[in-house]
Amino acid sequence: MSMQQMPAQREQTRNKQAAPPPPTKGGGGAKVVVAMVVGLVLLGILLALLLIGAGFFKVGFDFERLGIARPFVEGFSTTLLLTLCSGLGSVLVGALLAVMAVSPIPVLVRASSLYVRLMRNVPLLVVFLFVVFGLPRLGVFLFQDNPRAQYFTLAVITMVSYTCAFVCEAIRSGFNTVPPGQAEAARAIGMNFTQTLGQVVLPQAFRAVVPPLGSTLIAMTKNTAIAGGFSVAEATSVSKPLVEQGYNVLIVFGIIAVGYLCITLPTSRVVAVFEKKAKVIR
Amino acid sequence: MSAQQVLFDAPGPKARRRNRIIEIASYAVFALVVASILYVFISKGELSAKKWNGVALAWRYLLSGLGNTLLASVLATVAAVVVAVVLTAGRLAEARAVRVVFTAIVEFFQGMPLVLMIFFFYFGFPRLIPALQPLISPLFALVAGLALYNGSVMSEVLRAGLDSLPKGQSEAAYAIGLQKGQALQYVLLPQAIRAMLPSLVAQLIVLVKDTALGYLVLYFELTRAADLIRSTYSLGFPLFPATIVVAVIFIILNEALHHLAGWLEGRQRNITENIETDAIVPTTVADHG
Repeated sequence: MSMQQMPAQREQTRNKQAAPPPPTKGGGGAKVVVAMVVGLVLLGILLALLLIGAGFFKVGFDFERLGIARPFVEGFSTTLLLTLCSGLGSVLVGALLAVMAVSPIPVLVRASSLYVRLMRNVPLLVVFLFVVFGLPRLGVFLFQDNPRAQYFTLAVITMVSYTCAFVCEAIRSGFNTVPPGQAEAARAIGMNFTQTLGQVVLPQAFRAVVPPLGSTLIAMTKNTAIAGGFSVAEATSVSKPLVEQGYNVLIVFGIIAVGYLCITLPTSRVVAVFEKKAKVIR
Repeated sequence: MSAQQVLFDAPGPKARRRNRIIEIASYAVFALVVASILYVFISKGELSAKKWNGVALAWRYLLSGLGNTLLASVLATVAAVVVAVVLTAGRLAEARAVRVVFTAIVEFFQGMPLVLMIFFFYFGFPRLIPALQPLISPLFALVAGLALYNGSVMSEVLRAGLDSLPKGQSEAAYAIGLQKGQALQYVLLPQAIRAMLPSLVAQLIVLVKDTALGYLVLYFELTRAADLIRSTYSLGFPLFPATIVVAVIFIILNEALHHLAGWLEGRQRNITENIETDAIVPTTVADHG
């Protein structure tokens, strides 16, 4: 009798074996919140350190005690600060440009594509000339009493204006990898615009956006070196006075090069790992 | 596969009305922004005829700057191609140690800012090897930096191109007795270069834009010329006209190169029967600023 169960009994055993797992405890959401808070605190500490290192906040720490390391600390703090500020700004503005580029309104599409073409063809140095020398001429005066902040802000404005075009291109290329069939299927099962975007299109687009976006941000990090020519005391510009003071050329440039590599190489590795993990096999 | 198809269904009457409203509002906003910008420019006298005249008077400087830009671009392109071929050959070497070293070199040159390399050649090299001091000019530093950086990027492009060739090509080359170097030279590289030509031309655009970095080492190219013109009293300190003219020249140059790349890509698609693999994506390498 044990081997030949009635269909109803078989159904019952099958259901018992396939019992649903117990619901997860509510700790999942809390963990994410804790992680975000910790991340924000760490970011805040990093920002404070960078601001102090770059000389924007005066604390009691006597920088001369660092000796020869002082220009490097100052330089790299400024570079990192410049990268963070420009990166944030250009991603925000670039996202706005991308939204304009995919909207159904021809004016916005044309305006966005015109701006992107402009920034693709014009060198960053020309944009620097426009902003750093041009804005004061037009009457835009920022931080008149603090020249360091003034030139830093002008550099951030320039880099954001230039890089946002490339961020927009990266985001647009990410959108274009999502097959239109996805959205059509979402609409076919009755999702409205917000649902289609949030639950179907954006998650897929996000995966495709990260690699080109990462490359753009790495290129932007390297472009911050140009700000050194416009009164921003960042990492590359410390090389000239140090070498002229007689310090060993290879060591000076070596340290700066290693510093930049420490920023760019891990970022490109992280992006490559993400790309491999998030690859969508179609 | 346009983004609009992905996001929006064909608009119905309500959506069309809403789009119309947003369109009109956008036109209004843009008109307002452009008008206010022009107002600021003109009220400060930055676009006055006197300043434009100033730029026109200085046309010799602009021409000289343009010539120097083109000179640096051509020299750097030739040098970059040489560097690219050398680096690619090194990366595909038989000996693992050689491969590792060359891969490290390529990663090194790609991870550093171009400005740093140019500074190294201009400020560092003369002190490092005093005998070479009279040889080091801004042009040398600029071309050396550009060649090393763009050469390593091009070597990556070439490597992608070589990877995308059908395996049968290299197998056939070895089957008829060619050695590795000969196979590369006579069979593989010509095909790879032809396949990667659009991507390489796109890299040229980056190279032309980066000649502007000569500004930082006082090489008299276009942006230096604009800088000189803008700070001249007798021309009326024409900052904006000079910068606008230089920007337009760069736009014309780079758009021409862009169209060349597009034409090459179109020709490629007609000639080759191979479907372009993921490796040959002309936009990823060059378009990151």
